[in-house]
Amino acid sequence: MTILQRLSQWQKQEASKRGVEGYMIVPFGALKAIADALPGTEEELLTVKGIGPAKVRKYGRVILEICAGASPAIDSASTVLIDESLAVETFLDDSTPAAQESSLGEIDVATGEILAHSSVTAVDDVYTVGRFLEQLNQILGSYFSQVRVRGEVIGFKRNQNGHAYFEIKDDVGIIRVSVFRGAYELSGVELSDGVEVIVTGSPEHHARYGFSFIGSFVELAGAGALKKAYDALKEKLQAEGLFDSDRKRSLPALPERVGLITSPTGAAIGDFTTNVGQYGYHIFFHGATVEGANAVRDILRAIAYLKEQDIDVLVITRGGGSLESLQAFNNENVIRAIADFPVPVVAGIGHEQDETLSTLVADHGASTPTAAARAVRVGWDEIVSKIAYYEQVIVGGYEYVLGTHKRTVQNAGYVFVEAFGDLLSVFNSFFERFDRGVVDVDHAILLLRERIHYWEKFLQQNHPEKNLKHGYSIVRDHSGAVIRCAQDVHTGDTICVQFADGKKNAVIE
Amino acid sequence: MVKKTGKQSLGKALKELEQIAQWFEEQEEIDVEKGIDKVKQGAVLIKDTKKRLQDIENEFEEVKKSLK
Repeated sequence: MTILQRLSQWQKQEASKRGVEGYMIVPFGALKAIADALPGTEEELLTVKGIGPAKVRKYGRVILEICAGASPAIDSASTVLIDESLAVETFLDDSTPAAQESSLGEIDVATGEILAHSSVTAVDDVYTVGRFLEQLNQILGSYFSQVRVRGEVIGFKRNQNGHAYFEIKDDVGIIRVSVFRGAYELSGVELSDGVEVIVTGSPEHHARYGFSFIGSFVELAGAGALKKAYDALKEKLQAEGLFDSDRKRSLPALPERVGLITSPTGAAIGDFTTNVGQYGYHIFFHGATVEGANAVRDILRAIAYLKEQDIDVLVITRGGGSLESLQAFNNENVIRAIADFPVPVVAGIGHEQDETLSTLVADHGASTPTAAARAVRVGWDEIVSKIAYYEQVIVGGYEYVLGTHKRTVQNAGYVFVEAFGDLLSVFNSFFERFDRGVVDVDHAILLLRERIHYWEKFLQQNHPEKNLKHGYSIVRDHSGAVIRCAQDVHTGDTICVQFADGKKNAVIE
Repeated sequence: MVKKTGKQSLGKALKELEQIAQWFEEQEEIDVEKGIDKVKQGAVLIKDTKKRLQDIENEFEEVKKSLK
């Protein structure tokens, strides 16, 4: 295994232990830089891009050990940091995450008891403070990985970097909570003393500042607080004009590439896909949890991913729920991501009380996944239902043209009526058969064209003007009607005689 | 994604059909020769879209699984 592979393996294990993404431990780019630079000391490690003092403090020792050629302590093949007998044991226990965590020991998942190995202190009988804290944190982090704790906020403050520090308490006790800026902003809540919250996170004992619960997400708890926050945010965004109707884009009439964000396991996905119709859509589905501590992060990630895809419309949907279960859709970050989305967004989010703010900001707000599906398909339904009408317009329109020719011929006083009647019947029978789907369009059109050419030629050759040149004239009355019989005119009537080169009026004697 | 080659999209075909119908609706006097070209185009489109609507299916692609 190369150093980079070892670093990457360590990163993955560390991440899964903490319940976070690998890049949050150390970004892969930095791992690569480390593998290239192979630092031997913490100072050298600090010069690697992407590695700050905090990372060095937290992971410096392990990284340097890996760089020095050792496998990480968690690597089952390692015999450098742990003694031989333990190595065999951990190797055997490789599949259980707890076994991979440290050389200190395992946690009995059932009892929560820490099962110390006799070999724990084999390297040295006395821990250094740093080593003790490191192992303590590994245990705390693995046992309480992303747990949710509920309590009332007291002593809330944010420092100049935007990190939030407070305590949460209940009747029994108090714990200190730190929520770093990124996590606090993601949560989209405004905390203040006295507010009931649920903090998701893991405990950590900081080397200098002692115990703290590190929150990765904060939710308001209780319907009252949620309603208050909902109203306040609604008012704020309304004032910004985010819900204005002139911001709404109309949905594409015939969307073909549809982005879909919803839970892969809920009922919404089925409701949407069965009701959207079969119009040959390409549906790009990005799963996301739609409630709970991960929902905001998941939804934002899905939106960011689909933002880069070539889609015509984005659908975000889930079934109905209480204000509490719909929190993610009332999160300011989610709302703004929808507002900034490059193509129109349909929100189909069920609700028991108030509409979610995501619904209000979307270009089209529907109240259920089924209604969202209808919004996507409506243009298709409309145009498909018109096919019969188009057929009528096109066929009927052409029939009319042929009919006009027929009348022209009639007006000229010639007997093409039957000829054009015949053409019309050819045309009609062609389309009757076409309607039944039994005709080869190309062939039929060819025949029809030949017939038209034939009759047009015939018409040309027998055109009245040709006969005028031969000395015939056409006589019309004052209204322009052709006079066919002598008895139709009377003495004193004005008639119009058409010659090949012009017209002259005459009076009957 | 690679679109199915050789065939334009259903939406495009329908739009084209709509345009041909509009052409017939708008003409006061239709040229027989031009008309027959339009009729042919329209007829092919009608036949094609009707057939495709019968056996078209949606394509469902899971681009990213959710993590939990």
